Amino acid sequence: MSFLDEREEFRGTFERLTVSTMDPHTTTKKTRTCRDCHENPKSMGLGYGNIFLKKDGSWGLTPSSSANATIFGQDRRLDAFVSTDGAPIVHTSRKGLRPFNQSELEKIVRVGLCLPCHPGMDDPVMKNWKGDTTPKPCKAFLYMARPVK
Amino acid sequence: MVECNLAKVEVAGSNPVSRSTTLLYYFGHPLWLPFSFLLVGARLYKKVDRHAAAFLQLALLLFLFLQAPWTSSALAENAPLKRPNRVTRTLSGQIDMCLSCHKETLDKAHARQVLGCYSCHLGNPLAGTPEEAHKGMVLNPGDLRVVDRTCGQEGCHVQQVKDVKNTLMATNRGIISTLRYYWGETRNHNEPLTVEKLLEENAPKSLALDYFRKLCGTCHLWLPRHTLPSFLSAKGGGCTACHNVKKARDGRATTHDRHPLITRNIPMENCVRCHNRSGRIGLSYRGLYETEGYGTPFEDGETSSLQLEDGRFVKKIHPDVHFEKGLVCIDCHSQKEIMGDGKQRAHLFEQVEIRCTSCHSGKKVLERLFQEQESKKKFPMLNNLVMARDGRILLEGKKDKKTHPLRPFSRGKCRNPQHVRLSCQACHSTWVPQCYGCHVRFDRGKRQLDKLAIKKTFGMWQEFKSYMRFESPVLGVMEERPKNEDGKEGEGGRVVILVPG
Repeated sequence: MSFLDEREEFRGTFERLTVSTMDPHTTTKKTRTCRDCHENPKSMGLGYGNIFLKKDGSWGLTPSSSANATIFGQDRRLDAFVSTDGAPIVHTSRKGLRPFNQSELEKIVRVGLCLPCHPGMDDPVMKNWKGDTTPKPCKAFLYMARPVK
Repeated sequence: MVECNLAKVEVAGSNPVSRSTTLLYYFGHPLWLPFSFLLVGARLYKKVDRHAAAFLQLALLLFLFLQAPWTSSALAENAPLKRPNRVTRTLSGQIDMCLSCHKETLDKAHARQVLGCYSCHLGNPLAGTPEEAHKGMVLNPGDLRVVDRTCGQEGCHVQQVKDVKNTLMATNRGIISTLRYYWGETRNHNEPLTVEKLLEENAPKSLALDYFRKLCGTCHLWLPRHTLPSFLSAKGGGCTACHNVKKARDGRATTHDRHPLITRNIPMENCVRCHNRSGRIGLSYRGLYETEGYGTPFEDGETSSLQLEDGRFVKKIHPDVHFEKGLVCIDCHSQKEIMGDGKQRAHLFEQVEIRCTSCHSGKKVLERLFQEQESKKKFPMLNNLVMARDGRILLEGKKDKKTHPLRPFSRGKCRNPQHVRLSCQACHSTWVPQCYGCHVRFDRGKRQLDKLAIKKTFGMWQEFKSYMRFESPVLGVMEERPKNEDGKEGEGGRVVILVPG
């Protein structure tokens, strides 16, 4: 928010980015796809960008938007609600409402790694998914996430 | 209606001058034409200077204009007034002389023969002249300032009027307290500050409240109808904000019969008149996405051809499946949610009861809701369930009376252990309007209309929007219990949609 005085001269700003929850009233019978949530950092609250896997097995984000996008000097990306380490960067409208935390983000991203080969809930790998331990990491995943020598 | 003969009485009264009489006096005055001919003739024979002719012409016109109202009213004072020659009564026998002039037709429950005019519009039903009859009359009986004497009078809708005054549409408690909480003016997110209190003379003042008065103050039930300019004039009006519908223009509604109809079958337009900002649900439901303020060039490099009455550009995308099936707002949101149960609540989520699972959980839940409806419980969650011949429970659309099957959600997909925390909206709401670059400017040097006090005061608020998106709704968590028992942040709660704002 910008404040102008009686002479219409700029006097200062007050900033607060808040997110709330709602029912959008845009229900469709067909649902969003697995990849729309598990591979899309925007859906996870990380903002527009690309998720990449590091050689040490950890993951990171290359944001598409600039951190100095606003003219009033905020050093944050307006489309991001949470950082990759799960720290919220916005206020929320209600007690108990929050973006995903780090543990949840990692679980979501982990599923996304397998989706290119195992798409959909009908795939046996996804049907029997029980977290990080099962199914046993496949060779493709081990190759991708091999530790740096 | 009973009508009794009454002797025709001619009395001297202050009958208002009719418009046609006044016009006739101005332009059809017997002096005007001969004098004009005289002047033109004199001018032709060059007996009068052209400036003098123009001066005389103008002087006569001015004289007539100045004299006309006085003369007209003087004539009117002496004109005889015809009193109605019958005493008109309602079906219950109440004398309502208004009916001798007013022939407007209404819906069956509020028909003129049943209620007359006085029951709703007040005034003096025993008076013999229009001036006396119209004294103390209210144009809009639904206005919350008078509603206790009109719609809410004994024998009519007493309880509903009491309830609606406590509903969020009348109090705006959620908007006011959230605004003040966001701006750091209060630590109490459930502040009991209402529109009714802000209408008082010694109402609290603050920046957030000034913002509310000037930008948000157009959408509440205390707003008198037809007081704000332009498209805003149709908003507000208490009961009539929702329950009024215009008569269909089928030729029967003449100029003398423009009385709106009163209905329980609230059309979606009445809801969307207000519910089209903030979350934009009134637009999204119909598949309208509000685009950037400058009008994003979606159509062959041109701005969208679809514009709302307030000038906002919209683009047609996928509507809600319930809209496609013909369901309107009141098919899901019933009386208790909209008009309240008398209990004043702080936020919308406390007032809304209906869930996707109310209809889509299967037979057991539907049978319970159907029994609740049939048992004439005061506030059933749904009141439009019908039982088919084969025993299935269906939903009947209140607008089109079509029946709709209520299919249960997929146990396999929706109750998958990995996705059990997801709300229905997390997967089935495929888009949501998101404004990431919303900005407000406060200009202390300019004046703006205070929509509660209906007068301009110093301080202008302007909203700017940018960085509008609709795709990939962001997900987050609504904790049932924010912390685990050991104090650590838990992973319980529902996965819900997060939107900026």
